[in-house]
Amino acid sequence: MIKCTKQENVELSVAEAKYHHLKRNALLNVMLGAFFLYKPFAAFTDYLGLSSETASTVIGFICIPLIIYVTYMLVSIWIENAHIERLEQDNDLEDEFITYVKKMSREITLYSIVIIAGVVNFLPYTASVLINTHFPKIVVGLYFVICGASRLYLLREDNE
Amino acid sequence: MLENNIAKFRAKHKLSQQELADAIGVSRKTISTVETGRFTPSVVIALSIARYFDTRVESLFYFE
Repeated sequence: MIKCTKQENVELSVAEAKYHHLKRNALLNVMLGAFFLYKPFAAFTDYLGLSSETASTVIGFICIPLIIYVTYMLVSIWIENAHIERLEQDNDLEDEFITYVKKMSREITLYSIVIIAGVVNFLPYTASVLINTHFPKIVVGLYFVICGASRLYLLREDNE
Repeated sequence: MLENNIAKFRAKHKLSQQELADAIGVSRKTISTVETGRFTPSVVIALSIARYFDTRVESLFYFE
């Protein structure tokens, strides 16, 4: 217990704070993306005849605590960002790995969306009509999910 | 392929990845990914690490 309290009180360096901030941001991106993709996914399962009323009720109940958690994360990340910006004024050395992760995740997201768009062209007419109906949500959702997931993957802990 | 001796230098100076990262001004993740070869550092980081250990960059980084 004492050990845990001591660890929490340790002041993180700017680079370390940025790393943790990016990791939390990536997790938030995945959650936001899932919210955007929920409706298109429900429509798609409906199209395939796989939807069930019980499942949608359960998902509806799960959504409420998730929305509260996402709101809390958004506010805390916003406060953390302001804190990092204040600290950054004293430190001019950019953490290269963080920059590399941001650049790579953007590239992965862009290429993934291009590949998905290419695959969508070969879907049957009814499926493409369904995609066109939810197009903005699908693109934004995919952007958030792929960007967040790729960042989480690149920032993974692998017992180095 | 670019290899490095950072782990050996750290062990010699009895330093953790976190302590080296704090001294250089980067995150621990940067040091760990450079050590494992997952990430190639810029000249600035390479020179900063070399300066911290009071050695030449060639002693830290080499081609296999």
